[in-house]
Amino acid sequence: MKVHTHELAGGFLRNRLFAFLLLALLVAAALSVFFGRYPRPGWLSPDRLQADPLAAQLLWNLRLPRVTAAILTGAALSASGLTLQMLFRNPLVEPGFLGVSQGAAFGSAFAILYLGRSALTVQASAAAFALLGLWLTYFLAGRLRYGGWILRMVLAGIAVSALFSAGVGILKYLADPLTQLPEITFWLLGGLWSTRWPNVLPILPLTALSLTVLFLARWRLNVLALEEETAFSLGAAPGRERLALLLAAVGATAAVVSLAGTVGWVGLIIPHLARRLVGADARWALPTSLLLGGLFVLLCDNLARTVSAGEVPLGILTSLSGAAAFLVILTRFRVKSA
Amino acid sequence: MSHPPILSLHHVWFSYNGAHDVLQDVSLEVYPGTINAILGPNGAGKSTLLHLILGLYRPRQGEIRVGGQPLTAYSRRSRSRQMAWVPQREHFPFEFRVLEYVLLGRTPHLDFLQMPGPGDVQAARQALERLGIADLADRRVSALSGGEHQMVLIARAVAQETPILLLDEPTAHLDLANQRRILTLLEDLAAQGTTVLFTTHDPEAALAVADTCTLMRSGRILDQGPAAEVITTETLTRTYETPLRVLSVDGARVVRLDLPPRPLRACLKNKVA
Repeated sequence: MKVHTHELAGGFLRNRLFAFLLLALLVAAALSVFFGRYPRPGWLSPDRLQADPLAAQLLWNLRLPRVTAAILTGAALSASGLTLQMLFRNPLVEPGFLGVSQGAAFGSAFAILYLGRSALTVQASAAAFALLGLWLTYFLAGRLRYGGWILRMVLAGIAVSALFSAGVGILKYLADPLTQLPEITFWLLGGLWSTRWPNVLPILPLTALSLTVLFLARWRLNVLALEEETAFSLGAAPGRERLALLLAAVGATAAVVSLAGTVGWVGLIIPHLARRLVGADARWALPTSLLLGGLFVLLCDNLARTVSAGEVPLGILTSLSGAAAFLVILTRFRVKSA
Repeated sequence: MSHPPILSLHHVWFSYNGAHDVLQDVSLEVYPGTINAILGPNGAGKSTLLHLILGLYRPRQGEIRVGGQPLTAYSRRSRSRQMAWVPQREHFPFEFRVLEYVLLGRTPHLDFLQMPGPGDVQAARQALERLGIADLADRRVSALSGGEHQMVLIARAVAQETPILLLDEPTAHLDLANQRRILTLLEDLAAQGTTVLFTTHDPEAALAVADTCTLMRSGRILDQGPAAEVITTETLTRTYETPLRVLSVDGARVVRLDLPPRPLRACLKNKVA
């Protein structure tokens, strides 16, 4: 057997890239904890932790859960984005494009108003409406008599997202302006400023479970990205397996949306970037998306909480950078249509 | 024949909606190591027949047997080790590399969540080498020419290492050189023991390589048997419902659209003269 040097190099480079991304994420996480606006904008000296109980409090109970939440949010949105893209065989799909994020936001607002405001009900409601949003989009796209599959999915997604946005608008109108409205508004902008351990811990099981499923099933994802008949001929049960992975992706998305609100564009832009780095094969693209997404949202959130005395909503920052990057991809690179 | 058929259909009926039968009383016997063509016009039910054999749909009536057992007795995975599928074309929304795509053919040999290992990579490379396209390994699947695309689809099926290969219109989109390339490849695969069943609307493709030929029209079998005996002026004309003629040229058969001879147009007569 001939030795294929480029393949060895490819594997070697990919491993190096993983190691680098993992290291970068860990270092960024460690540094982020010491970065902020206390006691003054910039660095918090580690020596101060011993002397200043407030600093220690801040670090353990505010910054650490927030950093954890940011990484989780990025990882979950990116992995879900990649999964949805491959399941729908459509590289332009993103949780926010399919009614998933808006559905989750509506579900959260609905739960805040009518179902009590416990973290568990908000999450469950977010997940249920996220799923409903996805189903509606899929159903509508099948009914539309205009354009190719990509266009129909996007159009249906816009319509469903608008529907849920309007629903959120109605809920805002009905909400108590002092207690409920601020909570709802938070969903729409997306942010992590109110994150404490009691918010983060409940979403850990669902997020971890969903991401583990996606990670383990990444070869199946490659199979399911083939045409229906081909996937079937390779022994897959496309309907059942798609549904299982779809549920995992929507579960992860709904969990982090119930924590961070609608943080847009991450699920579209990070998988694109990951594919540029390591290729389309989900064996590499999925873990790369996970790490890159965690890093991206962590950096965005660091900016969000330090740039000004007030908080810049995280969703605005991710949308800004995501949309800009997307424009570059659309104009500079060939994006294939069906 | 002395061998039992590796694949057989017994009086198979099928309908998509329960009302109109797309396949009517289709019977077929395929013997190991042979090349078998299903020939007919567009809409004859050829692809549906392959889908049924693949297990994608179940017959309304009748039975399909693979390797002596009813198709329904196979699990998804064991079935995918018996038959590999080559679609007419595959649309790739993502930029897979050729080797990554061919590697997907190893899926039936992996456990549910197992990743392919070095042995699978080697099998995929061997499939590419067997088809003489090892140099394509690192190309992007979406950047292939029509002929290369078809070769890569077949390589993925070959990497699956199944005794039976099903191909849907393998030469339909290809120019003559690539048609020859694919047909020669089918002959090579059969010579090495693979059983080949392919659909085509091109009688020339069937005449060139098929051992047996089944003529289909409107979901029914019109005739079947050794390709050289079945493909005649009379049967083809009936199958395509258009005048065709099978001629003998240098000992080989050629199919010709039976158009009347046309006089040279008046405006060109001067030039020729």
